[in-house]
Amino acid sequence: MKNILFALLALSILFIGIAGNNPAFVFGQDSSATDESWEPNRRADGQPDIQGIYINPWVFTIENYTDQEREEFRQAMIEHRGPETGAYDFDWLEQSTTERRADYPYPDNFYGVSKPTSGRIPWQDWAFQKKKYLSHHPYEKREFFDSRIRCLPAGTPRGFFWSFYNGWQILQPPGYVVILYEHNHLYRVIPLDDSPHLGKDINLWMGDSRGHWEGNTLVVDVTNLTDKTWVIGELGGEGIHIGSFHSEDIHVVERFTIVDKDNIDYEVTIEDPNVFTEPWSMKYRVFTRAPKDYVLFEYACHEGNRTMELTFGDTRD
Amino acid sequence: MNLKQAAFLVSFTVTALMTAWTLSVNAHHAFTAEFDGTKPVQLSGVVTRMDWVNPHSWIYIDVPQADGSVVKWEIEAGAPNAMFRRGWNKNSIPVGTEIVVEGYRAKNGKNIANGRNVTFPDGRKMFVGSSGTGAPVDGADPTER
Repeated sequence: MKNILFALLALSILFIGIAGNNPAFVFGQDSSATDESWEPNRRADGQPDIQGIYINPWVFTIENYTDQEREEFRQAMIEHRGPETGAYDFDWLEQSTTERRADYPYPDNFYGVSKPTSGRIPWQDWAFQKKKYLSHHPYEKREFFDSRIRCLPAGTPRGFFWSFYNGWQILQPPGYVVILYEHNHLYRVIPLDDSPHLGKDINLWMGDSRGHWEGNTLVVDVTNLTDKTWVIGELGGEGIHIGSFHSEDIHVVERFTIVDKDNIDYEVTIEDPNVFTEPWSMKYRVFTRAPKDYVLFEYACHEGNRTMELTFGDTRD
Repeated sequence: MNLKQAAFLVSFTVTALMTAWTLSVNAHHAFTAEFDGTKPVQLSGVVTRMDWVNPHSWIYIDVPQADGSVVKWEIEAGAPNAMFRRGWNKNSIPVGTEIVVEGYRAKNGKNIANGRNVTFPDGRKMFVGSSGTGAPVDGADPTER
């Protein structure tokens, strides 16, 4: 027993070394590490000033899958593709997630699924079976593909995970918060008023948002989403998250909490009575100020996307 | 070592392993769907064009054959936005550059490959990286998991 434990400790040190400053993740807990003493500047309309360009350098384990589930998924991928997966290389990734990993330490209390305490998405049984089929047969037909791979919008909240196109810009014209995403030129226009959501017959890829400030926390209520996106997927998650679908009735409540002048934490609660047994939440640090001179680049996703051609032999997305 | 300490160690190990694993498998585009991990290729050729397009850059090379003919290959490379932020740009791989590409062939059998490494004549290496998101671990990259 003792030898095994020492071996595990050695492995821990090895992998912690590889992974940089990643924390030991704790699932199913929920507490805030915000610095309440910090007071942001104010915009002319009274909003806390969070304008600027941000990145998300934190890759983390979102959901508490079992070793057996991960192994089943690994074997499924080997069947599809051939030998083991795993390699990645720095030229694909921004330095904030590689060489400069140490400049972006993981905060304390960094969670994936924070509610329920199991650290697992509370799928209804039929929905979990569907999700599992999708993750084990991800390329069976084009409708199974991740919307992001098809150059379609990521949806909400999925567009806030780490990616290879890692910039977001927040603008605050009076009465609004506007979030621009580098990835796929997505955007959110969030009115800070009490106007009602759009009618139920209108569905938008990024949803219909209404926000308000509660102290240093921006609370955004999102409805009117499509059923064409995933809550979590391979980008910003693990491959096993593939197919984490939802219905058009998904209701998302986001809480962006200003931690200090450079950092914003994110807690999102997801409710979808068609798919999940109860509301559930994810919590993580979502934004940190981008390095000096960092700008959002153009991202014309369809220009070079050959996934459909190489998978199905045609070019229709 | 008591039970509590042991449980902590095991928990710490599992979470660390999961973290490293997570870092290694995040993907943008679908290697598994497009490329065949059982068909590695090594190509020595001359760059005829490079397209800095999203979501992947593409490098086009002419690969001379023993009989004097030339076979054209298309190499999928990394995301231009991230590559540009790392210092690569249009001048990095000018037309006429002789490169060696290691990668994996497309499942459709055409002369298309997912680029894993590009080696320049001076020995510089560019991990063009598409393979980094689901390609087989083959020991070529010391940073790979």
